[in-house]
Amino acid sequence: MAGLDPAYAAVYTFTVASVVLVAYAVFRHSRLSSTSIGPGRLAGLAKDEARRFTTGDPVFLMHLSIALGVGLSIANSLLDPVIEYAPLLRTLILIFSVPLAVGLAAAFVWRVQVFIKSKRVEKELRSSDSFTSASTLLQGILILAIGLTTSELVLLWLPSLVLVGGTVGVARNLLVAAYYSRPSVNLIGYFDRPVSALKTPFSLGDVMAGKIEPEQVHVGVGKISEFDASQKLSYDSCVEIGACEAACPATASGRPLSPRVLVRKVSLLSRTAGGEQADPLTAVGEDELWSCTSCGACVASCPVSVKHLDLIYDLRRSLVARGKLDKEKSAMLENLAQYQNPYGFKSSTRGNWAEGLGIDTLAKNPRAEYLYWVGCLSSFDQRAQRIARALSKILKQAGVSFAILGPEEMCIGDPARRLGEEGRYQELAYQNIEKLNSYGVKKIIATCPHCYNALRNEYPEFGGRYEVVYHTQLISDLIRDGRVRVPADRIRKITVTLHDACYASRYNNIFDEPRRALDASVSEVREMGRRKEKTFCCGAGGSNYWYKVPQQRSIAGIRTDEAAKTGAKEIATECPFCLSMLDDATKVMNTGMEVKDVAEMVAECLA
Amino acid sequence: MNHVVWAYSENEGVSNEVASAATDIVKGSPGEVVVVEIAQPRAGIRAPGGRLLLKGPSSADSPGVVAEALYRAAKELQPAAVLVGATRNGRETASRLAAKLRVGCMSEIYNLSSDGQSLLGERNVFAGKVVAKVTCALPAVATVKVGSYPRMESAPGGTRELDVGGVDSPIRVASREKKAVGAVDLKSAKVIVSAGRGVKKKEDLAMLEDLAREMHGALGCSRPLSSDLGWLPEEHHIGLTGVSVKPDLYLAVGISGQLQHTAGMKDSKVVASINTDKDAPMFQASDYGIVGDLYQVVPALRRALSAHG
Ligand SMILES: Cc1cc2nc3c(=O)[nH]c(=O)nc-3n(C[C@H](O)[C@H](O)[C@H](O)COP(=O)(O)OP(=O)(O)OC[C@H]3O[C@@H](n4cnc5c(N)ncnc54)[C@H](O)[C@@H]3O)c2cc1C
Ligand code: SF4
Ligand code: SF4
Repeated sequence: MAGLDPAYAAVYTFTVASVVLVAYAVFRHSRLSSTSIGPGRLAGLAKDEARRFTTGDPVFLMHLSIALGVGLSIANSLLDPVIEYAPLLRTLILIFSVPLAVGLAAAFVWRVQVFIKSKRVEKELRSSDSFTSASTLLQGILILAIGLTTSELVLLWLPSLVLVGGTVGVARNLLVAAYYSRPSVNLIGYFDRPVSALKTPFSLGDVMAGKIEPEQVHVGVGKISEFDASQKLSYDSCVEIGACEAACPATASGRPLSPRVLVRKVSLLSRTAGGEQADPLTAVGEDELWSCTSCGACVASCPVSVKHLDLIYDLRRSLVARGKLDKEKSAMLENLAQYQNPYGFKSSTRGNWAEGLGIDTLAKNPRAEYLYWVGCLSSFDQRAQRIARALSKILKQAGVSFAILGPEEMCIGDPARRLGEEGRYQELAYQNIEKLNSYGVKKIIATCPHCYNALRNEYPEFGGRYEVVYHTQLISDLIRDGRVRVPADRIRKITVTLHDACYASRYNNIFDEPRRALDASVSEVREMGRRKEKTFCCGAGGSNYWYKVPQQRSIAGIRTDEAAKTGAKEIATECPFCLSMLDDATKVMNTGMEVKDVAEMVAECLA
Repeated sequence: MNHVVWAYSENEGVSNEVASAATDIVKGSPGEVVVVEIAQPRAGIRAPGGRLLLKGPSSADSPGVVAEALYRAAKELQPAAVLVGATRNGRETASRLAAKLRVGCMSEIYNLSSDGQSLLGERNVFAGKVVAKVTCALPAVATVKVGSYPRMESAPGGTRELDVGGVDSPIRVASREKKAVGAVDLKSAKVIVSAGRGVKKKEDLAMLEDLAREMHGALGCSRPLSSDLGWLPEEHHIGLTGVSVKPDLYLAVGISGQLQHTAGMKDSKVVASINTDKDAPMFQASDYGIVGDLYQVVPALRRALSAHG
């Protein structure tokens, strides 16, 4: 102990006070936003961080270094007066400090580079000067906090400079209390809210049952005050880390959207005078909102659990409610209303792809074990129909009992919901559920991840509860169980790369199964850098398939380049939309690569 | 309220159609049909029952101004119905007028009649597949489907003027410019020749342009030709992310027929296609198909066309 040195005593007192301040700030924000941050949440978070640690993702490791570095230096500063009586603890702290300091130093360098990139993005987006300076300030504080913590860990090794270390710690703690308590609460409160979680603004069922009056249905957000407490916490928690921007395909393609800038603009607007009454659409552009493919990369990559997508959907709903739809978008919605598919084809031709294949409709064979939910693209698009035929071939060989709805199937509604037309989505959802329930459907197979996601994660809320399996999962199970056999001599000698569909991998954690299916049917699979839950979108999601947004290059083109770089001859997809986008891009770019669904690749190997 | 029906359109030809519609409603007693004009009388206007010239507004450029002028006049003269031609501006004028008068507004109507209590008519719904009979209590506003009535021929009767006072508009017409030459109006073309990637070079498009002209049609294309190759401007591209068309004849030349393309032309009356690949999906969406090389078929087609004059 440094005895009763008054300088030491003063620094120590400030240290304790600043730590109390941090604790108070965290407590206060959890109360203000009614976010639970109890021990159960903390334990859950620790478990989740441990899981992510094992993935070895460098960006995550840097963020973990920051969090643990701050934690370690706070612990050390509090223990400092008694640490000389616990030499083992001191040694442990010193040992731990080394990797953390390295992680922090890496984070520092990385952060500076992110900062430079972010200024380039802001320039492209023509952000206002006030926005740019607010952003620079916040990023500067982040870099400063990282720098302070790094030097504090280094100073641990120099006991003679304990007062310097203590002072640095106090400064850092004040920054944490002022800027990082909110994100901490947000992280603890919402780290486990899945990417697929989507707020349901109202329930058509309640309206039909007379539980609420149609006039009470409120769609979209016209004023900042209409965001709920957890949303406000979420947007105010953005500390400009920039992970979302780095992951966002819209930003990468030069579209007028950066999820970081979007969230910050709304947060800054809410803090202006009269901000609570301000209309978020005064700060956000229409094309900015339409640029999003709903791929979820922003939400998944944010180290403090900001939920950008909630904001995007709320504002898209406002655009729809105000009739801000161009011809392409309104034509799609009109087609959904008139024809129950987004293309405007006759429902009666929905089952035509199955003609002559001996596939029953549920009407004919209501006892089939599985319903195969085909989806619109595979029903009407001749290229995508081959996916449906390939899956049917596999199921027949494996002796799986299945049927389709044929003309009775309707669009699942995802294109309407992602566009912000919640009413039309729910109309379709309720009709589909009524149909499925009337047949007593229990198990469903899907070949489109958008259909899968809706059936699995969204329909239960409206009364549709089914066991939903993705085709790649079922195929890989059938291969494992020997019900589908690919003879060794039929395995194709070819190199393929797999493009994970966002709605299968990031939204629903399906990524090992398609790989197993490919391993059984082709000689070599080469991976792209961005894969599994870190996949890069094809550009079709979020209803983007149906309209154009200004951009510098196409998202599908970026992805095709990445696929070509692996040297693979074929791209395997698992989503009819991905197939359509990448097929188009490979042709336009003349890469000579073929694009096929995993089901097609497996079916090709069967006799 | 009296039994007078007003007819208005900012377009002279359409105004004469609306006058016919109004005459139908009053069952041929032309004294009860009044053609309304705003600011200036126009030479081509036919108004057997006379016209009503509303003075005050400086021009009839903006639907907001027209609606306000019609509103002031209607409050004073109480017509039974106001019919407006269902042009782009007319639709806006009518809806604004109906809102101001707090009466019902029927849109895109034809076969109009009245039983003295209500206005009756028909309109196309579900993309023209179904005809809905609609009715609205008088007084009422309606837009008349363009092209559904013959143009009134008889000479104009007398003109009466009414000063409705000045109407301010936030909109000023700064200038008028002609549509850029080359801009196609695929939507109204009766015949469309559409080029796909089967066309090997940009220069070869001239051949198809000639064919389109000889068939009194317009040239369209699949997306790759406009978006990816840039051979034609964006507004030529037909399909899901381009224009939707429904011509009487759609001739697809060297187009494979992906859903993204056919989604934009599936409502065409007759579809014909030329493709070297007999399995091209385009043939499934076609009434007539020629399996063959467009570089042979198109010149042959042009020769045949010129032989038939
Ligand atoms: C999200 C999305 C939206 C899209 N939106 C649209 C859209 O709105 N409109 C659109 O058109 N496309 C759209 N596409 C692209 C669409 O998928 C197809 O790629 C495109 O329509 C193909 O154009 P094509 O038929 O001209 O070319 P190809 O598919 O390459 O077909 C060329 C055809 O020409 C034939 N051919 C070749 N040589 C000859 C010859 N000498 N004589 C006769 N025939 C010959 C070939 O047999 C072939 O059938 C979209 C794609 C995506 C992914
Ligand atoms: S969901 Fe995807 S496209 Fe949309 S903002 Fe997030 S990262 Fe960008
Ligand atoms: S279409 Fe495919 S890659 Fe694109 S958003 Fe959907 S799942 Fe993702």
